[in-house]
Amino acid sequence: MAGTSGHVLVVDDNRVNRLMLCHALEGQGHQVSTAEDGRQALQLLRSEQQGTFDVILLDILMPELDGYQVLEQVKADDRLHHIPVIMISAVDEMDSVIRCIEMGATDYLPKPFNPALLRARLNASLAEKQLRDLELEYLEQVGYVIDAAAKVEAATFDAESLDGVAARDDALGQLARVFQHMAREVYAREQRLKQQVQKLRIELDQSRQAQQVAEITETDYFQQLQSRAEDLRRIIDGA
Amino acid sequence: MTSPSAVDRHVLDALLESVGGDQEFLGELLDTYFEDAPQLITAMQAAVAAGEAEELRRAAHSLKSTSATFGAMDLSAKCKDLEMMAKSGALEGAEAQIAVVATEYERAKAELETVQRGS
Repeated sequence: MAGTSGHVLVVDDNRVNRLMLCHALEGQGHQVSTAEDGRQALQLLRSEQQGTFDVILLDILMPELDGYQVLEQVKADDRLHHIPVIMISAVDEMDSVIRCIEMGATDYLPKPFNPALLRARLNASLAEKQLRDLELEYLEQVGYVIDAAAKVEAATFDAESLDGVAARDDALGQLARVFQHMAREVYAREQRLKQQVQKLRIELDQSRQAQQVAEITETDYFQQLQSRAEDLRRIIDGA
Repeated sequence: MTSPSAVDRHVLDALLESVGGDQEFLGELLDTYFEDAPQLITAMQAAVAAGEAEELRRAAHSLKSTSATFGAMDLSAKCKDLEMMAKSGALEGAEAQIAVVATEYERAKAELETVQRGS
């Protein structure tokens, strides 16, 4: 499996273990943060660095909060539960490891750790996270298209709001581009229709006005008035 | 008659290989171990004095783990005994076992320092 790099959080109360894991992980191209206990780990995970961690390497036996409690809180937190957790364990802790996997841990790494095994298990977890991140992004963009459909019905749709989704080179991107095109076409037709209606209204008004004028000027009384006006003009001109 | 070695050299060699042959880094790891191990032994003694089985268990577990990392297998085994004692909650005999751990640590430290000087 091709290597990928990520941001790893190492949680272990033992300094030698933290040093060794940092050395191996940085040598494998990863960014590493460390925590000495479970409480510190959760503070980091929920800090401004939230969203930047790709994998957690978690020891079980620690002061403050132990590995079980950290795992439980990570899995219960909507912002964190998607981060893969690899338990760091001694070989005689298999019962503990099984319990952690049942609680949602992705994998385990026995101590003392083997660098090749660390690389393999970390890469597998990183690949899983990246797939999950892509899936979440896809679902978010499907949501944008669904929102757009609702806005078209409410006549509040802005075609440019789908530009991000339309830039994709997959089926969803094509759907978004078709949606934008259709929405723009509908809008253009509406505009043309409005212009035609406006033009018709003007013509209708003009026709109504002409009719009103004709109704007055074609009466006998109006024609008699016109005739008298002409007679008076002849008299004035003759005088 | 020479006493049995306190450090399994094969484990130490494997550790050096796992850190890419970086002698300087191995030296840093050993220095860290030499700083932390006495603190863990002190923590064990304090835990027994306070009747804190869980604290004793954590300290014994930690020293067990890193001692095995450096090939101090006898020391690791004695720490495991202490850890199991603490896990069961029975602290009778823990004080004596901590003394055994402390003695074994000094033996392992002496040998590791010899290795460190030789590298």
